[in-house]
Amino acid sequence: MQGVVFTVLSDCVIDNFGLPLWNEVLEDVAPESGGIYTSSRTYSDDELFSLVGKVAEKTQTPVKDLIKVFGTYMFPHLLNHMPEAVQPGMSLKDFLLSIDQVIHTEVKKMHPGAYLPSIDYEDSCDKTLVMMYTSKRKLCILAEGLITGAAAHFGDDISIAHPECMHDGHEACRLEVSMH
Amino acid sequence: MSTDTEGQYQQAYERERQARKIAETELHSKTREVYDNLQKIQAQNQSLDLQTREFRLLAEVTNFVKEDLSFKEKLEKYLESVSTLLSSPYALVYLRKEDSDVLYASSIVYPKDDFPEVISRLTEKTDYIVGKSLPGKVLETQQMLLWKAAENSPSVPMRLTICEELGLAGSLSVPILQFGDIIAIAEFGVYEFDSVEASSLDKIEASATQMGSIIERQLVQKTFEKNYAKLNAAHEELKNAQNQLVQSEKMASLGQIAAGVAHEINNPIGFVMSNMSTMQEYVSVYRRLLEKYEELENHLANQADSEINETSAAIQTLKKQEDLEFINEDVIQMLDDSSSGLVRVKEIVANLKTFAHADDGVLEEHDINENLENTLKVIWNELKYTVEVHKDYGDLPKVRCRIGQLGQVFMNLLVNAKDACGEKGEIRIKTRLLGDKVEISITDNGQGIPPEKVEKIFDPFFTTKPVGKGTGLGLSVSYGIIEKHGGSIKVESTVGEGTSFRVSIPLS
Repeated sequence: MQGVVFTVLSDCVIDNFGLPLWNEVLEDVAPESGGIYTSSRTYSDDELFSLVGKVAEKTQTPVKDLIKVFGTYMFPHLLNHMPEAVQPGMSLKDFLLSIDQVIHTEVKKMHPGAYLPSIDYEDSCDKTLVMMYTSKRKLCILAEGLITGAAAHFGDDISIAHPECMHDGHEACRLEVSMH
Repeated sequence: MSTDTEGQYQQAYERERQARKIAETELHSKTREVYDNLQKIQAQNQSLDLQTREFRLLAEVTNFVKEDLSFKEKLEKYLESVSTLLSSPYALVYLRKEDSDVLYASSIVYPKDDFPEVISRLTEKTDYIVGKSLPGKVLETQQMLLWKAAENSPSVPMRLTICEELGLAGSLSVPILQFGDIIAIAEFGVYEFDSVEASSLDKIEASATQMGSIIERQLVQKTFEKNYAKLNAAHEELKNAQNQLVQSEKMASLGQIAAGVAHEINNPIGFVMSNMSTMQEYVSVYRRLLEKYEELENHLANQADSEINETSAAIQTLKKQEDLEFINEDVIQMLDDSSSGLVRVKEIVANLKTFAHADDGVLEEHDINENLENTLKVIWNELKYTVEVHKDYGDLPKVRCRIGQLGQVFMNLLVNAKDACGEKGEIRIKTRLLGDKVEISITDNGQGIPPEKVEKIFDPFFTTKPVGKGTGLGLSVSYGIIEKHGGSIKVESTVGEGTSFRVSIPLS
């Protein structure tokens, strides 16, 4: 997992729950990295899951909700790393449609070794976009959070339905994004 | 801030500091990586640029095949292409003197307009033999030679001075071979040897080989074109020969007809001649009778018989009217002339028979001088207007020969002599006995035959006469005839003075 996810997670936890909690989490989990994260490096997936699990436990928040919050929080930070991802005149839908072919391709250029989820689209009508999410990490909730963060950036009111999920044995997660 | 809070921040700060150090190290190594990559790209660019120039050189040389360039133009272009690749300030070509091991500096140089004056010292010095100076060294080894002024090996003092003056590091000499032999050596001035890549040297060597094969190919093509022209000429010659053969076939047919006609004319001439001589006798009888009649007439004139007188007067009138006196004189003359005319006709017919090979294959003893005379008679009509014939017949024994064939030889030689003379020619016929051989020489004062043609004149179908005039067979047939007689036929000729044929025939 890219280091940027860890640095943003650290900022997110400190912002939402305070520095002492984050210090406690690191102390309890005692990750291999010692909690020292740099965005240009990669760290093990397990470390991320352990950290998120520990935060959920300490704050008594369901993991799902926590991940969604984290996704929403992460979007502007990621955009900060790649400002050209949002072009002038782009709509939320245009942006979402460009993730798999444009944004992920750019990420690959900077981090050739990075593992990225793949997204297929079903674009049947103006108001709804179906994104079929597949990843070995099954971080569909994080994806939901990121979509929510993107909607916030574009100032759009959306709702996301998640009728099929990899966690329920489906091959892909079906994320139906409705724009209001 | 409480100590606890301070501790919390201290922890966080430590992590962030570590993260920053890592990020800085990462940045440093990335920067280095970028720099290294940039260097690599630059080197690749340079090598690509060099390769492009090298391939351009090969492409340019290859294109020489398509362009219709002379040998000199090709070498000039080659100098320019290689000089561009090597950034040479000058280049020149040494050419090999034909069939020798000596080279000389040619006028093929680069740049043509602004050739460094100091280099002219190299071109002024004319000859380079094997092993001498750089061109001589290349001629010896047949290998490309990189000569470095710093090493000066082989030692060439004049070049050393020139290099110092021009600030050059040395030179590169490239041999150009054709069919395995050096025909030229191209020399290029080099500013700096470090910049001359091994790959460039390979390409320059390859281009020189290519140049050589292009020149070879052009040579082969030229030879081919020459051969083609020769073949065309041969074809033309063959066509002429065919025409001449047809012509000579016609002549042979004419000879046969002449032989037939001569045979047919012979008989009537025989009896006409015999009749003529009888007629002369008869005329003399008539004349004597007339004389007697005249005596009778005079005797009867004095008679008084009127009937006789009347007849006598009528006879007188008729005699006067018809000019009997003249008739009496003329008839004898006419018969004499006709007889001698018939003798001439008979001679000509006899000669015609001789020349129509009527007596081929018969070996008999004959008088060569007489045969020459007969031949002259047959062609006298052709000769008499333009040529004066001087005869110098020696005292010859009879020669065992096929006289008809010899006559053909003499006629050929005499007609050729006459054709060579034009107006106011002279032909000298001389015969003499030389040991056991008879020599006949026929000399004219005509235009003569150039040396390159003399050796061909006995070849079949060789002729300098226009189509229809000569068959080109006359002298070759003559040669064959004389050879069969065990003799020889020789020619001496001087252009503008004349030609002499000497025929030598053994007595038996």
